[in-house]
This record gives sequence, C-alpha cells and structure tokens, in this order.
Amino acid sequence: MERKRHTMLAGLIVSFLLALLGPLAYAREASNEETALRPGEEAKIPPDQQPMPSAHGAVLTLVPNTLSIGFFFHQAKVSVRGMVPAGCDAVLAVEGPRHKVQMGIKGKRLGLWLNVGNVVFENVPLLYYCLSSRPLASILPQDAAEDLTIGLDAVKDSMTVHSDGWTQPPESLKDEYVSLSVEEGRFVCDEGTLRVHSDGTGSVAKIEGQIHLPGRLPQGDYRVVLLAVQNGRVLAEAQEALSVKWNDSVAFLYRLAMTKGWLYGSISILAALAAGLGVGVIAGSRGGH
Amino acid sequence: MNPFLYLVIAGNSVSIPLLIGLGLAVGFLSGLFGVGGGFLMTPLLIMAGIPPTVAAATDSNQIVAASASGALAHYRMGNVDLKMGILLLLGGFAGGTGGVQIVKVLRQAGNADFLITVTYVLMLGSIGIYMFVDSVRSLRGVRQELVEAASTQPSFYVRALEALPFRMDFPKSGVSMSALVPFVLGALVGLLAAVMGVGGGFIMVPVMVYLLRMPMHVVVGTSLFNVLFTCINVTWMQAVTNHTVDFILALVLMIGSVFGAQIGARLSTRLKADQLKILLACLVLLVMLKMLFSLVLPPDHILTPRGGH
Repeated sequence: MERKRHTMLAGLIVSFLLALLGPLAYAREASNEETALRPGEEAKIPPDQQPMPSAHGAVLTLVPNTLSIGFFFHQAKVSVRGMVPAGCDAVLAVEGPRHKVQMGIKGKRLGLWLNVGNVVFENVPLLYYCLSSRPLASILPQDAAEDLTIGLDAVKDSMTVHSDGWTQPPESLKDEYVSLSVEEGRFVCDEGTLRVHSDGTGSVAKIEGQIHLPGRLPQGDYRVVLLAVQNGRVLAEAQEALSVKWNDSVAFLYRLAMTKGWLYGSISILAALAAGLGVGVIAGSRGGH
Repeated sequence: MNPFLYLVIAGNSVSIPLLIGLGLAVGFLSGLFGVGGGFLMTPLLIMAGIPPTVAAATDSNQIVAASASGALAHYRMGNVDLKMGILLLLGGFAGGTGGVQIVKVLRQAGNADFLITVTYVLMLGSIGIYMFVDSVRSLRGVRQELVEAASTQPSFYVRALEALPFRMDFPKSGVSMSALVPFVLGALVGLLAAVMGVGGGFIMVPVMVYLLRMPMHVVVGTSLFNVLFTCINVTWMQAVTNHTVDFILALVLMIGSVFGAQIGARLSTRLKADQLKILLACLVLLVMLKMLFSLVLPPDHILTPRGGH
C-alpha cells in the first residue's frame, strides 16, 4: 500500500514538472536579451552611442532601443538622450501600434447600473507616452499639437468611435476611454520632466529624460519622436524606433496557446490535476486522516 | 529574484506573492465549503490587472487543482458520494448545454443582462437567508422539534420523490431516492450556472443539503468532485475555443490554492454541519451584497472590458 502510494506520488510530481517545464524546454531564451534592461537597472548610454551635436537638426538616442520581454519582465526604463537647437523646447512622444478596442457601456436602467450597449474604438494606440520640457500648452498651440498627435487631447481626437445603445455624444465615450487608459498606465503625459540644458557651445542644447514603460506592455514597434519647438513652431524633428518583443520562451507559449489549443488545454489540465492530487497525496501521507 | 511574472495571455505582469496569496485564500474557501471560488477569484484577478475573459478562463484551470486537492482530502475522509456525484454531473452537463442555448435566446430578446443579474441577486439572497435562518434555528434545537413533528406526516415533496421510478440507495449519503432526482436537479443547477456564467457550487451545495437531504460533510466533498469535472470541461473549452487560459497564471495560483484547499478541508471536519452552513450562508450573502452594490452604486467608469463573470 505504502509502495503504491509512493509510486503514485512520484508519477504525479514527474507529470507536474513535465507539464511545467515541457513547453519551456522547447524554447531558447532570446538572443537579444542582452539589450534589455534588468528590472530596476538604470539605462546608461555607451560612449559610442552618444548623440552627436548638430546646430540645425534634432538628434535622438534611446537606450535600450529593443526591449525583450521574458517571464520575469516587470516595467522597463528607457533612457532618452538627444540634442535640439539652442533656445528650443523639447517634446518627446512614444506611440505604440494602433488597434481596435471593443468595450461594454454601463448605464442606469430601472435604477440599476447594467450593461446597456457596446462601443468600438478604432485607431487607438496600444500605449502612448509623452514627455516635455515645459507644460505642453505653453510649448505647442492646440492646432499644431493635434496635427502632430502630441498630447492626450490629440490622441483622443485621432481615435474614432462607434457605439450602440449610447444616446449621448460619442465624444464623451472617448473622454471616458482616455481617462481609463491614464488610470491603467497605458496613456501617460509627464509634462515638464524632459530636461534641456546647454552643452556649452551655445548652438545646441542637450536633452535628457527617462521613459517608464508599464508591465502591461504589448509587443510591437513603437514610434518615438523628438520635436524641437520654438515660439510654437517645430524647428527640428528626430525619430527612433523602440522595438518590444517577447523572448523565445514567451513567444513559444503564446504560439502554443493560439495554434494548438487542444495541446495547451491538455497540458493546463494535467498540470492542475498533478498539482492538486500531488499535494493531496503528500498531505495524506503525512498523517492527516 | 524579481517577484513579478509576465503573463503572455493576460498581457500584463503581476506580483507573484499576490497571486500565491489569492490562490491560498480562495483554495481555503474551496476546501472548506466545497465551492469553486470563481465568484471571488475572478473579480480579484480583474482588480490585479488581468483581462476579464482571461481571469474567468484561468480561474477554471486553477480550480481544477484546488478541487482535485480538496476532493482527494474529502475522499480520504469518506466524504465523497461518487454515485450521487456522477448522477449530478451527468445532469449538470445536460443542463449546462441547454443553458448556453437559453443565454443565446435571452440575448437576442434583449435585457438579458438585467434578467440574469437580478435573478442571480434574488437567488443568492434567498438561499443565503434561508441557510442562515435554518442553521441558527437548528443550532438552537428548534429544527429537531420540527423534524419530529413532520416525521408523522410526509411532505408532498417527499411523497413525490418516493413515487418516482429507478429508485437507488446512496449509502454514503444515507438516502434512498430515484436516480432521476439528482440527474434533474443537477441539470437545473447546470442550466442556472450556464445562464449566470458561474461554476454553480453556490447553487449545488444548498440543493444537496435541502433537496437531496445529504449530510453537510458529504455535500462539501461531493460538490468538490463535481466542481473538478465541471472545471476540467470549462478549461478545455476555453483553451480550444477562446484561447484565454493563461497557463502560467494558473500555475502560480495553484501553488497557493492546493495548500489552501487542504487546510480548508481539514478545518471543515472540525466544524459542526450547522456552523459550516452559517459560514457559507454569510459568504453567499456577502457575494449577494457585493453584486447588489455594483448594481446600485455608480461605477468608476462607464466603460467595461468585455467578458468575465
């Protein structure tokens, strides 16, 4: 009886470990892992990647410019360095790929708050992050900000909305979506946090800042734009791409879930059974009842 | 080591100790009362930043572990009526399939959410109050007198049950009745569970206690046995159809829930049946109040993510 129990216990533990480690065994860690920052690590720009000064244009460097998301990823800091012509303000915007979002709308019916309709937002950035050297309204006129999609109002205007079951103007739903996104850390505007200081030559100024990306970071290519603005006019612009990718293990698990649901589901159920029964057997063998 | 874990299906990173703690707490309730705990875990996961559809599907996966652990613990204590459990389960699958079709019809007719939510609140409220009052009266010894008075005159319900064919003995539960009774009641619970989008443990436990007249400790073990198979089915369907099961999230939740279920199962044997019923009644009433508040109080945002309970 005791031997049978131990054999069963060993079998359960082995199947649990297999279920846990199986998917990972097929995957290798991403080769670009070294470009990603470890959690809490400060981004430092190597000397060979320091931006070169220019009296006419803007220069932008991101470190790292590729983020690898592994199983222990949690938030990321991207260091921003660059140059703008002297006397200019700086505005930096990070925009993720745009997509469609479907949500429900709550409304009051017969005194109760219930789902009363549905809304579809189109052309919504997965993530929007904005830094500026001073409050945005004092740097860019509203028209220019909207044309360049700078600031949360501009992002809101760039979205389209279709709803059913909502009788009020659809603009109010956009306001609600932006407010929700700000609360969840998907839309951020840190005004006045981008530092601009003269490099001593008189013709250019250095910029420094940091982008704090949330844990809820979707995979994709993010567009980062640096604008040098003077008297409400954009004098220079620089663009960089920030690539956010899952490492091989994470990507493998996602592919398995999406393309082989039956296998993924079976592994999930087997692991749960092995964990539950395994602990049950261990607890029982330690003299419960 | 970083205490956060990136969940690829959920698309977010969440604290590992938080997830283990949630698993432990919900697993404890599962082992104690024989419920799956989805009513509690799903909203907590949503609050932790997991999308509702992923939270609901993954919760089913972790309940497989907690209920397997709890059901095994109860089985060892002789608290699982397999014969009754299988009949309830067969009925549950049939009722669940029918319930999904009813939801489709209700949604096409409009106002489905209103009907479902109000029915759910009323049902939880009446079950909770009935269980609470009954258990308090029983603890005070009132029930014994009523049972003695009623024993000379069988109720219509008892006479109807005795008239049904396919009579079977359920020695573990100490009852004898037609096999149709657990099958039909299981189908009703399955139907309600499908309509309301919950696992059904909350409805199944009172049904076993009051309609099948099973002893409370056997109810908890047998309910966990049912929850186990129901959640295996849901996990499989969600993984294949909607791809919303987050395996990594479920694994971390399981670490807590399997131990919580063991502790809950052991504690349940140390409590009297009526004490267990009072605690469960309080939990049912708390869930009902939470739902009632969410219906009456204005939400923080009028936009809600799709899916979830």
